Amino acid sequence: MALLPLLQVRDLKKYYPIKKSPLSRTKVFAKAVDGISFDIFRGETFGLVGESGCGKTTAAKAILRLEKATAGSVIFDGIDIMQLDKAAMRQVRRELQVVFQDPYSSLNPRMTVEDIVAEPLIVHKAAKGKELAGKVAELLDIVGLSRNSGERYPHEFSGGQRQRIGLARALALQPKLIILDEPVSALDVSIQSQIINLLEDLQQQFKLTYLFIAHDLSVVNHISDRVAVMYLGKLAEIASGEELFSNPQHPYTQALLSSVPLPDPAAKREKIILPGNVPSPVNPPWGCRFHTRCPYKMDICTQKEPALNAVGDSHFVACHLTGSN
Amino acid sequence: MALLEVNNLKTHFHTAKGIVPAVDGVDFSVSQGETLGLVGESGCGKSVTALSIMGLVPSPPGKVTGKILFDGRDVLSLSEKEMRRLRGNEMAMIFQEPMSALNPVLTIGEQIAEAIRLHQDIEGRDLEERTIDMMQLVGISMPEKRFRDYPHQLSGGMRQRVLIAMALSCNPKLLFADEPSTALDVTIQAQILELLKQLRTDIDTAIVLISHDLGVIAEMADRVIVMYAGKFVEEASVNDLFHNPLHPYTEGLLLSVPRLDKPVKRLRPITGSVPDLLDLPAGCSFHPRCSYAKDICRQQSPILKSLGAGRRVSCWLR
Repeated sequence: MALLPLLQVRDLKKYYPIKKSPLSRTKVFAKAVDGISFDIFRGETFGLVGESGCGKTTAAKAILRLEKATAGSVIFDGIDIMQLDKAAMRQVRRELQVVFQDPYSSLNPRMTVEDIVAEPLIVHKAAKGKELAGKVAELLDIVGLSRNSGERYPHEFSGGQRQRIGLARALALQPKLIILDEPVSALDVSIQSQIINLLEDLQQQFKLTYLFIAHDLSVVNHISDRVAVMYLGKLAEIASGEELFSNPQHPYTQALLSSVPLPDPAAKREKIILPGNVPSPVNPPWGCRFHTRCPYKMDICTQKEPALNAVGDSHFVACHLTGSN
Repeated sequence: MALLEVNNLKTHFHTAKGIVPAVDGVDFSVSQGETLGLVGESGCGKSVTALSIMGLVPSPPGKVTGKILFDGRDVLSLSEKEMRRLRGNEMAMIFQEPMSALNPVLTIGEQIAEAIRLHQDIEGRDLEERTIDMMQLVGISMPEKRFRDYPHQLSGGMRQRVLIAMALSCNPKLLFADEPSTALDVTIQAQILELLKQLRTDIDTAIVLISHDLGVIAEMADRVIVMYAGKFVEEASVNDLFHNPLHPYTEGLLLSVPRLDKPVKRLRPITGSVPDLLDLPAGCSFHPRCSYAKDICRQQSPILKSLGAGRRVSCWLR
């Protein structure tokens, strides 16, 4: 791991202002992402898991600068992209692509598949004329779509095929990093695995790096080299996939893992049922954000926020139970 | 005698493009107190099966035929009035998306009370007490206060609890749970599944659990039916199904999902995609995706054979 990471996220924050009442002047913020830091190395798949509202998609949008980050830096391939102007950022976007969850709403229904895949190439003046047509055909082939699908419209395709179209578009400019935001959660089980395998093949073939965002732990475990667990705008734990799933240290990770129903009726497990709901990011709990639901809550947890500390070989946990304070 | 007996149930939708056989001749029964899992991918007909039995298929375009015996009564011959008495009272249903199943302009207390008032002869103070009891039963904290909350003030998990309270308020004999935890987060899903398990033992309701999630089915069901393109392809006890699947589709589903308990290097997907119900392949509907397909599979549709011990499979290989 001596190599420079492809993506370095440092203390990234994204706060959304919320108006309390039209007359109130005090500003209140929803702290969707509240200071997260991590590295993604070249060629790896970095999984980001967490429940809805934990800030994982907001983090992705802030990294892509689709949302203006409140604070923090994002260093992509050695360049701090938070400081770039629009034109320079557009150049970076060639190498930094994204695929969204919903293949139904992320494709323009009035464009043919050919046009959808060609658009990034045209926008970035990467190809035209015969070369463009050839590239588009090649891309469709790579993602496993038939040649004649280029003339058709998105509604003529099934969910899995639409996700393939989204991938072809993301691949068009030969990116280094692709952010995959819940890329398989809208798909049926049998189609999910086809897309997961395709993602693995593409990664090999084009030496891609993935930031894989999902709520499904089984999928994240399968595809990721390293995984970060997010809770209420903060990272709770980071470790290699194997380590995280066999030796979870944070009580939240433990509860998450134990909650996943296993497709084995003989599986005997003690489920950790967390009480209550995820608190609001507007007024997150003091100290450790998880203390309101944590079965091991101590006094310190309500007062002091735990830092992300190393507990093993590239295994980090933000918890007072394991903290080396 | 079984609580519910379904014979040759067909639900066909007559559309401009032709007849869609959403459910195409299924037979099954549900006994009192048991949990039957119904698995399959979207569009396989699992929800339509439940809606047909509940009398909730709009007609036209839907046309439901066959025989449905619920507690000895022939459901399809009941008048709409009789059906309304049955529905919500003796059989109830909870849906995947709790927000769209609730009325946004009524408090949750009013909505639960309405479900009780429609079927039981209680009013006023008694009704409110019964409502609060139900809210307590499904684990809604501070029910006296929450009584006056509107659906938008509740989280997804709490909304699902409200729907469960409404569904169970009249002690139904049969509950259809259509993807009850799919829209919820994992930790909230665990709470809701735990609640359903506990209620199952407390009130002895039979549950038909519809899910695409094999994990949820393995955890909850006693018996499982696998559906594909409007037909049943396999039925077995939960242990048999997961440890010894006989239909290639069941086997394919089990192999294609990534598992926390058994990680693999590479997933084994089922190739292709679900067929269009308007244009089903000849023979066995699954044959274009089946790696064991033989000539007969392409020509003739297999029948659901009984193999004894509650096991049925529809495959030429068996």
